[in-house]
Amino acid sequence: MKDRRNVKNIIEALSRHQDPDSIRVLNEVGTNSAIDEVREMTSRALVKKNVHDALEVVISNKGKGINDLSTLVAMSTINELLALEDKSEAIKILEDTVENHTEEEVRDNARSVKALMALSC
Amino acid sequence: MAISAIENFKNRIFNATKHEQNVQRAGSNTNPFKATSFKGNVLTADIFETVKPSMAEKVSSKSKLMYSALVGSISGIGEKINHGVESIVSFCGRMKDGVVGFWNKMNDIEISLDFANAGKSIKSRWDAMQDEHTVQKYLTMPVGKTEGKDSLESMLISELGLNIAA
Repeated sequence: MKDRRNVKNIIEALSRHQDPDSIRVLNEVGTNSAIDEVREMTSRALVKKNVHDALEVVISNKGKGINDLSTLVAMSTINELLALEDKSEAIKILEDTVENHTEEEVRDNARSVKALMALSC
Repeated sequence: MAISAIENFKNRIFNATKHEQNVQRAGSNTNPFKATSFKGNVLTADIFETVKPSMAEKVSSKSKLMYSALVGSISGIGEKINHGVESIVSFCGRMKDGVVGFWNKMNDIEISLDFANAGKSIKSRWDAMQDEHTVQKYLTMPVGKTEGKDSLESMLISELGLNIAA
């Protein structure tokens, strides 16, 4: 298995970076990676940012974050969401997704995660 | 010896001799102690010892007391010595038990140095420290690739290579 130590460091730096462009890079490069591990790291990095645009990527996008086809990626993203100290923005996006998203699968996932977050508060 | 002396003394008190009876009868005095006075009375020799105990007997009886006291004290000392010896023996026994117990415990304790795990732990800490240093360095770099070659985006793409699906 290839050592992805430097990839991990770059994603960690992007998650801490204050430049809003870091969200775009994570979304375009990280979440579209064919490697589950990279997608997992990217999703967690986006959740850690705890800002609207970053959370929207992992909650409302089909095939990304909590909607990823990989169970590992989806569960890791949900765990990171549950670990957030301030969950208000995430809950707001989840509610918006449950009410307004066109995809039923995405709505269902958002509803389940919202219920989990309500229990963990 | 003592019992027979008491018997004689009792006879002497309650059975007065004839001479004493005469003296009593003839007594025209009012001295109440006259009857028991020794004046004119013959006291039998078996009541009181007329012969003084010899010096040897005195020494003997005195010595007996001394010896008995000495023997008693000696026996007491012996007891004390015995107790002391017993306490020393018990102390030594306890010390021996303690030493044996300590030795057994030392034998039971398994001292092992896990150099492999210690090495791993040190390495993981060292790696974490290096990673943190690298991340801090990356935080000073620009994000988008349009800003230059050494950006985080270009580095990430380069690291992932052909693994980028999009």
